[in-house]
Amino acid sequence: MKKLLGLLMLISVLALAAGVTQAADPLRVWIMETGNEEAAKEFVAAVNEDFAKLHPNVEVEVSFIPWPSAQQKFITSITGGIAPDVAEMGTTWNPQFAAMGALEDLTGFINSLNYSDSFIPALVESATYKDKLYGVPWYAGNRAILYRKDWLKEAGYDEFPTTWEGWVEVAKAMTKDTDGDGKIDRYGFAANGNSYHEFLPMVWMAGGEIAVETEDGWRSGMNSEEAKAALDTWLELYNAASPEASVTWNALNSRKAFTNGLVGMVIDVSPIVPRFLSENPDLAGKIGIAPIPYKEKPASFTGGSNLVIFKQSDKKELAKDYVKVLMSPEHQLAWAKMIKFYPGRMDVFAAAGFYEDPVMSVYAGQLKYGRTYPPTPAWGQIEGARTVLDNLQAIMMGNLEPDAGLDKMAKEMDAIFAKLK
Amino acid sequence: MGNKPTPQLSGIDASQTVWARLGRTLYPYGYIGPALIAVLAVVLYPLLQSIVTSFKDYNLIYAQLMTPDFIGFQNYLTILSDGHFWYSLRITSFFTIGCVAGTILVGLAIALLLDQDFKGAYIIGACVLLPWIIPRVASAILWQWMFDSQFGIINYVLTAIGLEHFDQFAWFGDATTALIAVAIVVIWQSFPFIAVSLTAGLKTISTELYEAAEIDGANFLQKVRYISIPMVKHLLTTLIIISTIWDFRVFDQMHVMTGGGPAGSTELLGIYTWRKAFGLMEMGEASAVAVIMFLIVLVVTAIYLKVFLKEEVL
Repeated sequence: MKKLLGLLMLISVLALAAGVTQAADPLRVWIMETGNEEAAKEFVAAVNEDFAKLHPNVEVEVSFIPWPSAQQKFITSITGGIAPDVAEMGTTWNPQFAAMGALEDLTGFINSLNYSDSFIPALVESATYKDKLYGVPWYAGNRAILYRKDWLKEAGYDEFPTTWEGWVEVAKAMTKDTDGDGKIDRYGFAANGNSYHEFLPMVWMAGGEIAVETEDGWRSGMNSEEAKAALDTWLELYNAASPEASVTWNALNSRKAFTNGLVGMVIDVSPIVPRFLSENPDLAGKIGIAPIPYKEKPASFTGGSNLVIFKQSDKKELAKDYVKVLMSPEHQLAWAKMIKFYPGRMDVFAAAGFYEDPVMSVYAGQLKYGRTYPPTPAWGQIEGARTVLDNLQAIMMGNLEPDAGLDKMAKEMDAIFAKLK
Repeated sequence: MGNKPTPQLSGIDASQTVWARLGRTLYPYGYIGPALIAVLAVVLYPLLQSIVTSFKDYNLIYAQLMTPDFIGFQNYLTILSDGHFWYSLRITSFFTIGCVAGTILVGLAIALLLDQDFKGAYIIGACVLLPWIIPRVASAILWQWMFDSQFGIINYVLTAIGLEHFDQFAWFGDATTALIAVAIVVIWQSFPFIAVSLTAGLKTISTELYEAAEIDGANFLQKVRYISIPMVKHLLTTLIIISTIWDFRVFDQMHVMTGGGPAGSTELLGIYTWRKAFGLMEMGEASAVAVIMFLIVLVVTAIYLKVFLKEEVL
């Protein structure tokens, strides 16, 4: 009897110890900062509550990571062997970390989900590396044209154009010297030269590709006829309808210029519309939203995040369950509404009436044409080396002839592709 | 045990003095030891590490999958045959010369001003320190908006005083004006240190020298030229060397204000290195640039010492 009692005590102590180790070694989750800490914490608490119903004894530790330092943080944590179990991963980084061998192959897991055919295509593209899936599409955002309706009307147009010729025409017509001092004081467009998402997607819209994967690896498409057509229109917009200084601008600058009434058209994301209105209430009722005009076929850059599981994780099954909770319709919607982007599951946002909202419907309409930059680990390096931006800026400043500039861009891109292992 | 000589009575005294002597020689090392170890850990180790890395095919992405190979001088060849490196070296040199000259001249002028006895010298002295106290990145962002083409106060003021050319002038749209704008910021941030150090130096000069010069009829400039500057020459040399080293590797201000753009035209060596390391992820090439920069600074410092301190050396 005494022996049995002793055994029971031993077992309970062991169980307790097991519980303690489990508590001391939680499931670690990294989510990017959203700019609204409280709402994000509320969201996480609700997710954790649902997860606790499945695994009551597992503690979850969620950290919010600032975007600018996230890539470095991932690299250091992987090198140091302390990568999280689950993480939100920016779409353009997904291939890089897959190539590093840091991510768990989720192909089987994703195919086992009954909603696996309703993900936003651009997110799936970004999660794919060498025919395998390394991320679960979580949410996406894209860009559309935001313009001054009053300026457009003043210039004599009722509708925003859908062709490139029409686009250049209205941008020029909106560019004006309003006080008659011989200097232009408002511009029809902001041709941001220090940002990818305005110029590069035009290559797709002209029917071209930024880069294609061939049998001998990736090849740049930036010296194609289509890329040249895109650049020609871009230069027309810049030279005739955009401030000279916009060669050094990114979205932060063009937003300011739009708020202050210096430019009447920007290419930007949906959450920015309420911000324009709060910063300049005079803009109420004056902001129009239109799909980006195209030449051959509609396309839009679609960014966002996937959920990944790290190979180092010793709790992969738990991690998969956590991802499943995050992907449930309820949490997909809550998150998307909070950050004002789209849930990765199109079945979820179709059901939630995103298409009826006047702002969101224009953006949502473009999602099916969504594309992502070449899903190769080299893309991160191409962005890092400013292969596209330096040459684009040199062309805009007139330091490089357009054709020579595109050739140089393609050659430099190919040099980075050639080093792929 | 057996080999050890048994201490004898006379030997105890001898060993005591040996220990005492040894102690006396070792004490100083004991004191500087911790500091020395710290310096070695944070200076020498990273330096050696970057030299080693500069000979490796070290890509941050692939380093996780396979151990980087030694590739000899390949990284150095890549860098030295890159036209942009030479462009970057050229603008970095001009930028450094401009910044050092500007910093020293402004610093010296302010120091001479603070050296005069007048009411409120202390208040001005405190104000002068302000640009130095503000975090570099924060003030770079402030200056960036001051230089903004549309909403910046600098264009506004220049236009207001009749320089119409500066209406909507894009300072960061061109390499030359962008470099000038950033140089102004760098000078603005680094002159206080020079001014304060030189003020301290000037205060040590005996007033009798100035009085004697005054009796001989020397004016203010002559006093500066023949007394103040020669008396603080060593300090000035050190300050010029420090400024050169600082300005040669300027990073934060340029990164915030131009990011090296437009079109890479303001990519100082600091930015160039950073882009190789964290843009291209080529740690090997980045380390090679860092080693080259280290050697350049070393040579320049040696030349300075030789030129400025010629008399003492001879």
